[in-house]
Amino acid sequence: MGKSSGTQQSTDDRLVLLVEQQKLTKEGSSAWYSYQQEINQLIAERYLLMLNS
Amino acid sequence: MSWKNKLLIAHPNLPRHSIFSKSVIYLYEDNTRSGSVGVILNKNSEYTVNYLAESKGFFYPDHNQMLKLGGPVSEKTILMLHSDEWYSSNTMQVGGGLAVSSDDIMIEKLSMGNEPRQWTMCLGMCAWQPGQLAMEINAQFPYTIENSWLTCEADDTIVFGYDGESQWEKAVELSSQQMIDSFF
Repeated sequence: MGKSSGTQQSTDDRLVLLVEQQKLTKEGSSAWYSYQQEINQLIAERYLLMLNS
Repeated sequence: MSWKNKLLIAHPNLPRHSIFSKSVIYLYEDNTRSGSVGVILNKNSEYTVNYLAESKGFFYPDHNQMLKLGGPVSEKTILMLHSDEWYSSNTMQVGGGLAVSSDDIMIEKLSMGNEPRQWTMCLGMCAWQPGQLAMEINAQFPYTIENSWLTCEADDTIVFGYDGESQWEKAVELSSQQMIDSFF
């Protein structure tokens, strides 16, 4: 359980970091879309963590 | 507004090279805080459920049941969308009489003939960060109308009763009908 919470925390921290980094890029630019892809990957991973917790 | 348990239907003008061209997506999570998650229902992968079962040491007798391409994220994840009377070890009810499972036990159960009343199995999924889906649906910059989605209420018939391009055509028809009905 502790390990699972730790993984969730780490995913959340990474998500916050990516969202902040995305805000620094121009909306619609390739860098912006690149961050979006990474963010969406984390959203999916977080859902799977929730499903399996 | 939440689009949970709704279908997202690709805009007819979405370019054919897009993975989402003529796609129908079932959205099983839509949350303003954690984002949105769903699966494409009508695109086949090159693998069958039988192939997947054998790779895990089981045998599923139907050689024609295809694994769907659920979406471009977490592409190695196997996820089953099914009717909610059936359970595996991590089954989560998502509403509308549907549930989601994603474990090896579901494959073992299928191999033993223990199947949900209705189901489809997907490789990968779709995800949107909070706010992104609303922007896409409303064609808000940087998204365009071609990238936007039609939406409609999901039911068993449209989710499990169709496949491929005919599922997209039926979903477009259903979306138009529901839009017209909402005006009267």
